[in-house]
Amino acid sequence: MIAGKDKITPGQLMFVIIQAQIGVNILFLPSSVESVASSDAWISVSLAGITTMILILAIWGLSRRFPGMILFDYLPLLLGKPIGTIVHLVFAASFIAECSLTSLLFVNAVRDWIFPNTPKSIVLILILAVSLYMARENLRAIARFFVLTFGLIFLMIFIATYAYKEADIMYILPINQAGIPSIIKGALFSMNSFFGYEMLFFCYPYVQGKSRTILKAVFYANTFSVLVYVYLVFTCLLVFTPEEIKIIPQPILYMVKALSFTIIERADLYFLTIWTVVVTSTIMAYLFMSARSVSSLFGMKNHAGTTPFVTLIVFCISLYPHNQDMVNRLKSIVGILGSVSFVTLPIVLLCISYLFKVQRKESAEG
Amino acid sequence: MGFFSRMFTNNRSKSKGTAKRSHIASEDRAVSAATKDNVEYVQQALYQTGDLENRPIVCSAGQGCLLYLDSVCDPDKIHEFILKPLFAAGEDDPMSVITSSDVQKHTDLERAIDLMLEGYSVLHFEGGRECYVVRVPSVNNRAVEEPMNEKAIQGAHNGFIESMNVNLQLIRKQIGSRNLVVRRYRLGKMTKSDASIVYLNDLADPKLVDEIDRKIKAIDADNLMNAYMILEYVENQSFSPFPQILQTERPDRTIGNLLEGRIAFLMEGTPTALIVPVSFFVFYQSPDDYNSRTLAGTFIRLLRLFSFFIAIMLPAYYIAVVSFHYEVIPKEVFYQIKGSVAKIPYPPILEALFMELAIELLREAGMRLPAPIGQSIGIVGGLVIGDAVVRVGLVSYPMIIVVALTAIASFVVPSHEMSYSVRLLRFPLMLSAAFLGFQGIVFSLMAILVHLCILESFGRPYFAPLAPMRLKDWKDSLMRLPFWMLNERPMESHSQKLIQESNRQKGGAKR
Repeated sequence: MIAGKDKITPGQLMFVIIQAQIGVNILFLPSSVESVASSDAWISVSLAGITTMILILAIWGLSRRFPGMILFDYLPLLLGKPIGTIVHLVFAASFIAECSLTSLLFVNAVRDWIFPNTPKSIVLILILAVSLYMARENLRAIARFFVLTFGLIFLMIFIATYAYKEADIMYILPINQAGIPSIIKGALFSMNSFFGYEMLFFCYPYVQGKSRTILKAVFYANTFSVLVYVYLVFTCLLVFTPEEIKIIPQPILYMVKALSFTIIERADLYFLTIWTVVVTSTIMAYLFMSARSVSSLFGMKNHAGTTPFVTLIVFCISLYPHNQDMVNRLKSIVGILGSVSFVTLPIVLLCISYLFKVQRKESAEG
Repeated sequence: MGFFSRMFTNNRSKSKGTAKRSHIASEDRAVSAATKDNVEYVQQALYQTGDLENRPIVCSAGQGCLLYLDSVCDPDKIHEFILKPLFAAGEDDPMSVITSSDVQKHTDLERAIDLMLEGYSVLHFEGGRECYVVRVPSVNNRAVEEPMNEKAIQGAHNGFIESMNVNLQLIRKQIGSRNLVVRRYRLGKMTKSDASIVYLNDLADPKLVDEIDRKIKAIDADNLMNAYMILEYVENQSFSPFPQILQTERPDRTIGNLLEGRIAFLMEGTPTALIVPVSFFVFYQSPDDYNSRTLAGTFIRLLRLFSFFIAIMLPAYYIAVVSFHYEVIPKEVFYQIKGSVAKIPYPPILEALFMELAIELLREAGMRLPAPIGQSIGIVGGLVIGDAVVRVGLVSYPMIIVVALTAIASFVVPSHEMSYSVRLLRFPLMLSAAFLGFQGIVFSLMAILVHLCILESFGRPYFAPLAPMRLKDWKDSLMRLPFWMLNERPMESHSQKLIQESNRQKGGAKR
């Protein structure tokens, strides 16, 4: 059914998931979670990561019951044609919205930090053009690129580690000063950083190897992403006082801006440059998912044809909001869509599959 | 659209007509019993060409005539192989008398004329219904010298020449295996050039061999002068900035690649072997790596790969820093650079473009001129212009340093085509750096990386072993580990046998 040419290895899957998960939120997560869970933000982020594990398990359980099929192939089997199409639309909308939000946040960060006078559309066109070039290709080529650029994440961690010179452990003590309800609320806030694991819906049938190996690979991937996020949030909490973090929107950049190496200054510019690559891979992953979902909506096998149109839609959506208020509104829309399709739906679909015993017959795989 | 299609096809009707007229008649023409008829026919078929020689023969075998083109035939050989034995022998069959290694009997005169063009001479005896076609080509080869553009410090100093047979001989002499296979082709409807692909039957991917075979046979062109033209026919992505076929004039490089399961293409008249499938890193391997110690080889190779990044990124980085991100320079250095840069009236991108173009001009000029003048061009261009341009205040000193470093870095690539791509890729990167600083550079670099990830050389990933990542293959691509550790052939050539030596031990290894 799926040609050997399109297959990826479990190792590649791991990197695909990591790259899809780690994205724009590296910059924004610390302050947004801190505002809710104050100095216990790192516990919230870990909690969110553990919750993600459960969701991954749900997606994996679902994909395992329909070997050789991606999400949209078995949605009609699970829900029937009409409801299946509606859910399909919700998924497609979520992917496109998530993609647009990521691009928008990226462009805003770039404008805030480097080019305050450059029109938004130019940066947006550039990043979307590069993403489009990649997202048109098959999963295998995308996986290659993601593996190649994976090392940059370590470079970012390395730059951030330098900030420990100014760390003070007292800032996070005592642990649990915010109280458990705030921590859980913070965990809900940070869930959207871990979005990207939905890629498993699309990758599962393309991965060589047993389903257990696939699960393991995705678990490792998620563990890595959680560690990166927790580490960065933790570092920020140690470096800044709780009052400081509340004021600054991108604490990590402020943190590395203060660093001075012998041959380079302003590490934040380099950090932003590397971060651009990481964000671009997230956008590539989401563009790929959006294009796949839109093309299967129209019953097309190949997604290369729809990708340009999807990119155009993403461009329009992310160009539209012109003040912080609208950005926040888009954020909340994406939050709702995301929690419906990436959090609730996998579990609901899995329950339906088990309750009504819907699964693909093994013989069909042939 | 119609306008454009007409623009490109408006002379098609014309070329069709010429094609028909110049079409060489290839209907059979039986050899006539009368020698005179045959001679006249040949003279007409070759349009009374001046180099057609006609030597009447009267010997005991009968009366006849020997026809040959003296531009492609060797008179000594004609004398040695044909005339001497003919006159010495009695009334024996000429087939058994003529001592050339290739004597054929033909009844079709057209076929004989075709062969005449390749250095055969045609012998006909009065009253015979067939002619003898004897191979007496004049061979005019230059010596097997070290190629000018691919010099090695240590190791073999021979190189391919324009004769395909000599090149094949150079390869066969080194690979004594009976698995070495040569497939011959005759290409070009008008030029009829000899070409061949060479591969090791037990190593090369048979599917790939068939694909190349199909692609070469599918070429439908009148003129195929050299291997570079074939290259453009068989390449998958002609508009990629990266070469997908390795060209080399070195037999040792060719042999090394054949032994890794790759396929070489040779052509008469071209002193170059084309090797497929290749990855990006093959272009950065040089025979010198294998003739020096492991650590030195690895160092040099990493240096070359590093030079790739310098060559495409350094000017872009400098432009980005000077025009947007001067904050990244440490304070002490900043004052030094500022003193020089601040007085320049032009934006850095113009400075850089001006200097880069000047360097490209110098390089092109130095290449065309004979060596002694080429050197003085380098001195005049490099020293005089470089110094004057700074003194006048058109270009800053740091820019001169950057441009010179870039030029040197682009010379390091051991392959010419890759060096061209490096020189080309520099310009888009510089432009994007001038527009958007670091962000521009990173977007262009990503586009290049994506392209490298997508690009395939004959169905094999081009950027292997980095994309797809295969650490095992790093042993002989990014690094050069000792030979006893290279137990497996690289994956990306898809050779049939991956294991190339089974004994890991140093003493027991083959080398």
